[in-house]
Amino acid sequence: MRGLARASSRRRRRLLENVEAWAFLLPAAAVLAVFHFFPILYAFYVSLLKWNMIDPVRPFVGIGNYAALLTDEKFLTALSNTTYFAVVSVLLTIPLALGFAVLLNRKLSGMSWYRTAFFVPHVTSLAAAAMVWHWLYQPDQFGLLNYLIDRVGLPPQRWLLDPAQAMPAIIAVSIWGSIGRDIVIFLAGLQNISPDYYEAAQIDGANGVQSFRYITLPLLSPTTYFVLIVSMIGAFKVFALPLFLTGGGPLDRTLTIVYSIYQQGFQFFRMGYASAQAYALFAVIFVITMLQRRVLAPRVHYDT
Amino acid sequence: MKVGRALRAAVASLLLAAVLVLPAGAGGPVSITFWHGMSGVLNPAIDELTNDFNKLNPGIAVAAQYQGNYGALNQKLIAAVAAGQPPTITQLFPTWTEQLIQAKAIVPVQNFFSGPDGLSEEEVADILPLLRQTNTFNGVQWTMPFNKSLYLLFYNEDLLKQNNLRVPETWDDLLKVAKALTKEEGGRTTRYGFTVRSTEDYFFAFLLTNGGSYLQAGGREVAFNSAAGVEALQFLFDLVQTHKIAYVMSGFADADMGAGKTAMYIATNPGLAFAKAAAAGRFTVGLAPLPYKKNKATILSGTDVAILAKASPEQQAAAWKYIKFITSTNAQARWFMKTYYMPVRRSARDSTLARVYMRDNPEHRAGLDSLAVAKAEPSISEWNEIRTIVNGAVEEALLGKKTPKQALDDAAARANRLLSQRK
Repeated sequence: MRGLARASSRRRRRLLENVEAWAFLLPAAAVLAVFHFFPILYAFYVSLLKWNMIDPVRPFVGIGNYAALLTDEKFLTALSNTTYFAVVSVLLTIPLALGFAVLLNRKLSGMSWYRTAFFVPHVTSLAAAAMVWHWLYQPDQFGLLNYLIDRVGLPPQRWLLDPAQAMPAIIAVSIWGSIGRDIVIFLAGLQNISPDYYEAAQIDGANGVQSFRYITLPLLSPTTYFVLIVSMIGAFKVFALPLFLTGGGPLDRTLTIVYSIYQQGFQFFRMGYASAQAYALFAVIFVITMLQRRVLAPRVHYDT
Repeated sequence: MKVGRALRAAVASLLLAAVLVLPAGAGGPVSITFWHGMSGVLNPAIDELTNDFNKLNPGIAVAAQYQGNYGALNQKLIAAVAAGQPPTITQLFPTWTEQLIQAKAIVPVQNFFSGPDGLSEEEVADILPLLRQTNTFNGVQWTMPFNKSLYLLFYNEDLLKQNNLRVPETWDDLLKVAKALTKEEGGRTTRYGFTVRSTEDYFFAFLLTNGGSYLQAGGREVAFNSAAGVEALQFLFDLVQTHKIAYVMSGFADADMGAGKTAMYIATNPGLAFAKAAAAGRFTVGLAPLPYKKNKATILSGTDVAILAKASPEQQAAAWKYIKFITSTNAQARWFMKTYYMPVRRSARDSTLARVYMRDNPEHRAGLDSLAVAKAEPSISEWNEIRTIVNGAVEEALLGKKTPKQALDDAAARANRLLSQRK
């Protein structure tokens, strides 16, 4: 008799605990549901329609939007531009960030100032930074960058107006802006490596380069793996830089996928098509991340 | 316990009184909102007009709200309509109107012509016919023209005088004058005769003055890739690449003219305010009709105003009163003098106020003379995207990536595909 009563009171207590837990989760869950999950599902629904956001008539076109993507030269241009941007900016940023992190890992006086200096671009408002960079990149003799290279005797460049130079110029700004974040993450990873390893290596007679190659890099590999994946995902979503610096041009050389989504959805008001592009971007990032996992995960050395 | 009950009763009766009294807010002025994209010096001008109206009409309170540039205004307007919370009045380009009509988001201003506060037949006929045309869709006038402009040639008057040059009238004149005004120092060009912005409106200006047109009769295919169009684009290319008397840029040409980098460029009338500010008194800015080859022409630009359907009948009536005010003869004459936009009424253009002003500021003659040859762009919702396509073609041709014929033909193919999707 008593056992049964205890069992039911235990069940009630568990139920109350669950309700309490859900009550605490409710605010965050509500925000996530309204601003994350609902838009994600609704966007998929919209991608099956032909809609301009205000027309009460919205015909169902099924996979029509997705089929159109495959033959849209503008979208394919955006895809190739974005891939070029992502690969180059990530492959340049990571070694640079690692190098600077190693340099910043010394215990010299004033080191915190240097670390701050590297991190400041990351916390600067992207819009403000882009405005300044736009001015720096002014073509002909009116831009600061051109003034500097003129001093060295080189002819002034068109930078953001030159189809060949525009994307590299944007990549440079992107590296400038994101290197700080990668440095901080690498620093944390470096400081997690126990000095015992370096001592042991020193005893065995290893020099700086050898201890970097055989101790630092392997033990840093979880961090490197993380930075690679996160940077690549973020790089595929680049939008603010082409928006502020080039407007997608010249000749669509800096048109990225998110910029194309913005253009289709909010300038031409083709919401269905824009949503389809968004899901295409999701698919691309998903595939690339899975590929990265396949290739890189086995090479990550976990310090157990 | 008795005190507690008394307290509760007092609070309850207070709340009841509040609930009964508050909703009777009728009696205050009808408040309406007007979304616009008037930036810079145009902003205080619209505020002045609005304040005058509010003072003359104590029962109405109009709030003129700046929404950013026209691109931002378009996005906010569509989003607000989609969310069911649009403003009462909005500025809009004719290319936006079709979408709003289809979504049943606006009310035709024509409905208010015959009301108690309406317009007489003469008052309606007083509006310039071209403007009435561009505001009419399927025989109904949906919107009211407000701040219309057109493209003119801007030039540094002092430079032309110093070099004994006459203001260019034809394409050949433009070529000669630009050549004469291009200055080279030490192997580098320090001043160009002409600025070419790699935008579609530059191309359209030269297309129209060469006898070309936007769409073919019937409106199902574009006509800008005609021989006239190819010639126009080729002319721009030659100015930049062959004769090297013009340069390509995408920013604001008035700043370049102020800095002495260029002598001439093409822009719309309200740009005169920005050009004068950039000149800062160092030289006089002159205006002339666009240089032509086959026939004089210019592009009609600028926005109209519309009343949103979501507004209540009182708000719509108040909105109409405001629109009637800002498009009235007196207001349009003052608006023209303050902002250099074209007066939308003949009576405003011919008023004493305007004529005295033009006697003292003869550069505006060019704009008013060009009004007779102004052509409007097609008012279809696909035109925004077609403009972007043409923009791409102009860029490709000016940078030498494609020949003008190739670029325009490719653009025409894409534009026609868009048009074919129209029901």
